[in-house]
Amino acid sequence: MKTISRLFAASLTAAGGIASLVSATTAQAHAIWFAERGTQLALIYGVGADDLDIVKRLPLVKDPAGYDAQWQKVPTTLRAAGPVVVVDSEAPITAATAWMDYGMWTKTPDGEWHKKGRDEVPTAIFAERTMKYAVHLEGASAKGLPAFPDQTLQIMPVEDAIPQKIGDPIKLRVLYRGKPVADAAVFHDFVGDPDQTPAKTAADGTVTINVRNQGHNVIGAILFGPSDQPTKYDRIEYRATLSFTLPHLPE
Amino acid sequence: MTAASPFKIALAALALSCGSVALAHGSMRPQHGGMVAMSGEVVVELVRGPGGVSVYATEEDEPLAASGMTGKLTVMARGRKTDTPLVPGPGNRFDARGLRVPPGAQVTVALVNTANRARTFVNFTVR
Repeated sequence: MKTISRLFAASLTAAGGIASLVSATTAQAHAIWFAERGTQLALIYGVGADDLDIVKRLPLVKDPAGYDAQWQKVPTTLRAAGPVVVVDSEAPITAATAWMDYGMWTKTPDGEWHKKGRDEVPTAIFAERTMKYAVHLEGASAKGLPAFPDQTLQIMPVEDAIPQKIGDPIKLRVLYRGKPVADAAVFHDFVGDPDQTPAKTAADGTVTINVRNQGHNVIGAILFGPSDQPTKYDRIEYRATLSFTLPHLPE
Repeated sequence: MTAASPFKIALAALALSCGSVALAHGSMRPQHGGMVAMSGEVVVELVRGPGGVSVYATEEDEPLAASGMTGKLTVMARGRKTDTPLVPGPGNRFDARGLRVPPGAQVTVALVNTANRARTFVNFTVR
C-alpha cells in the first residue's frame, strides 16, 4: 500500500481549473482495470504485475456497469469468485466500467502513510484522497463511446476503430468531468511497464501513443486535482485506466 | 557457427508445420448440421430444426455436460428481442423446443456453469 512511484507523482499541471500540484511522493500507485481471468472478465486492483487483493476492496468499488453495442446498460454485477472479482452480465457487453473511492491517506514525517484525513493525524505533512476509474472495451470499436458521468477521469480513443496491431499509434483524449484536460499523465502500459515516463495530454486533452501489446492493453492516466475538503486532504488523485485486447493470430 | 544439416532443417520444418496442429483447440466443423461459433475455447453449434432449436457445447472436442449448465437463447429479429430458456438435454445438448429463428436473426447463446457461475456468450448471425 505504501508503494511510492516517483514517476507517477511527477509534477502535473492541469488546465481547466485544476491546480498545479507538485509532490515527490504519492500515497500509492495502484489502479483498477479490467482483464480476463479464467475466461471471465475480471476487475483487477494493483500496479504492474502486482495483482493485489481486490476481494477485500470490493466494498470500495462503486457502480459497476456493462453496456451493449448501443451503449444501453446491461444488468451487470461484480462477484467475488475465490480471490478474483469477476464481471457477471446478463448478456454480452461492449464495455464495462467501475470506479473506486480509495479514501484519504496522510503522510507523517517518518514516511508512513495512514488511512486517515490530515485532521486526524497531528503530525501530518501531506494528505490526499485517491479515486480510481476503469473502462474496458470489448472488440475493436469505440464508436459512440460516451463520457460516462461516473468516470470523473476517463481515457477515450479519439478514432472509432481501435488499432489492431502492436506498435500502431492510437490517439487518445483524456476527459476530466467530461471535458478534455491538459497535462494529464498517460501511461501506455500500466501492467507491463509501470515505471515508464508518461506522455502528457495537449491543450485539447489529446495524446498519441503506440499500442504496446498484441494482447491485453491497459492504458493509464493520472491527474491531480485540488482538494474539496482542505482540512482533510491537500489534493485529490484521479487515476483512470482504459483496457482493451488485440487479437492474436488464428490458431 | 556450423551450417545446419538437411536433417535438422527437415526437423525444424516439421516442427513448424505441426505448430498449427498442436495449437488447434477443437474442430470448428458442425457435427449436427448447424452453425458453429467459438468463445474462448468453447465451441457452440446452433442447430435449427423442425421441432425447435438445439445447441451443442464442446471444449477442445470434449462435450460439456449440459446438466452442469443453465442456458438461454436471445434472438433479435425484426426489431424484437426474445429470450428463451435452454433446457439441458442428454450429453452436451440443450433444447429450445418449438423456437423458430428466422434467417438474418442475431442469436446469442448464453451458458452459465452452475458450479462456478462462469459465463459464456456466443453470437451467431443466422443465415
